[in-house]
Amino acid sequence: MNYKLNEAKMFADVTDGIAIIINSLTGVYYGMNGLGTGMFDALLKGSSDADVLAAFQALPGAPADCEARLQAFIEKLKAFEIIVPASVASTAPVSLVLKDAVYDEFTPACNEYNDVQELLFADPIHEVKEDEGWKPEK
Amino acid sequence: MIASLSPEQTSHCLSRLREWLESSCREELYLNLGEVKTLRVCCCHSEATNMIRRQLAWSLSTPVKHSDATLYFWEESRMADFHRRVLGLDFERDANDDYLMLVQREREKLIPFAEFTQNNSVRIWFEGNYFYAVRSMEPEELLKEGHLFVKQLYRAVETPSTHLIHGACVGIDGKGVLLCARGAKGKSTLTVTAMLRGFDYVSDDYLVLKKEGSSLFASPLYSIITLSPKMYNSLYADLNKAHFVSNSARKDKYVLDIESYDDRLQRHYPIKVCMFPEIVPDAEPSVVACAPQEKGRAITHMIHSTIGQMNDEGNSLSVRKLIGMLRDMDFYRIRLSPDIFRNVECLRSFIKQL
Repeated sequence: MNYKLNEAKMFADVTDGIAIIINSLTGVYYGMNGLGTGMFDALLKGSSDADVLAAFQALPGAPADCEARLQAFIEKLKAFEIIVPASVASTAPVSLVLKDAVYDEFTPACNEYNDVQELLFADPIHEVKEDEGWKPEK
Repeated sequence: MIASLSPEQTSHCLSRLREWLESSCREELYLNLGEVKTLRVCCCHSEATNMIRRQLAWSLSTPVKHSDATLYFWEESRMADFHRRVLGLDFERDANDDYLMLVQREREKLIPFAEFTQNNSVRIWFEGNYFYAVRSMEPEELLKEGHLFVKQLYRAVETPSTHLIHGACVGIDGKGVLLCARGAKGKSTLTVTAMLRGFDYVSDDYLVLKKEGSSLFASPLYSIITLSPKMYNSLYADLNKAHFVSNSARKDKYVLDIESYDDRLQRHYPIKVCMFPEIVPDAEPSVVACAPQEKGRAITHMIHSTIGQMNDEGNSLSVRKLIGMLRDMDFYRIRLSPDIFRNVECLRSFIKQL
């Protein structure tokens, strides 16, 4: 399967090795880790998911579940509507950076930045009592 | 670590803080932010006011009766047990936790209003006012974020049609070029050299962008520039009216006060095109139009450059507003050679034919 950027909705740029995507309609902002950026870049250049998987599996130290990790990443990109299926393919070789893969523990990631969600998931909510103030539970 | 307060508790502890800071205020300054808002700066330490005057000389204004907001500025080390004594909050700051955020519960939302970082600062935003403490009043400490108060001004200057952005602007005869790039891409060198060669000048790093109908305008905030030591030495003879302010906190840039170049300064300057500098060794300087498919990439780069610096990635309203400001602009790339003066002449030729 081949994919391309969903140009009807998304703007994308790779700066300093990190992919940034913006939904031009909603303003929601996405950032990828280094491994995810390498895979995303390869997909946008016309490589198929099979080509990206082969390059992923060829990395020294790659885990046994490479295919599941890649598919989870691609499903996330599709769910965010960042990529859509494409008919144009490329035979250019896929090159993933081992250092990025090791740093990212062989897990490509795409994060949606949303202040409210980040706060809700970052930490439990603590109550502050008027008389004794807020004390974190140890 | 996040602590949550009710709106009543938030209001109570910040009222105490405001009372304490008003009574500690040594000097007031007023800033006209991009002809958009007036900010009163309440300094608790007189040594800070000289630094503010040097960095923000082009934004200083005469006192006004009603400012849009107040920025309270103090030295944290002079306030032991700040949170307990002043805010009235009794929590232990965990030595292993270098960050504490206070959020206010309001309906179903959690709204962050205060950040405490272990190593440098306290930042609080509340009801349009800004509370900012730094560890010390050393120039390098005040320049830790590159430009004094930049994150506070980012919030203060925001209106439905204005935004502080990370970008530079120069022009000729009212035809401005908005230059945008992350660090070390030649943005400051190009704009400062252009200013020294007679261009109209707005800023080399941060400015206020304002949309009026279909037109875009840039206004300055800072009267400082930042140059690498190498570029400073290259431009040394031409920079004879500039004054050294400090090293940047990273020690990789010199900060210079260029207030005395105010004959070049432009406010509310019309922007005709957006441009990205690219350093291309061993090549002639040139300007190339971005292809249609490159424009989205260019806008993303420009927005990321601003909201990444301001840690505002989660604010989709800011992103949408910036897209709305930029999407109708024409975008170009300027390829910069190692010869900074030829680069400026290339830019001059391009602007003249606009």
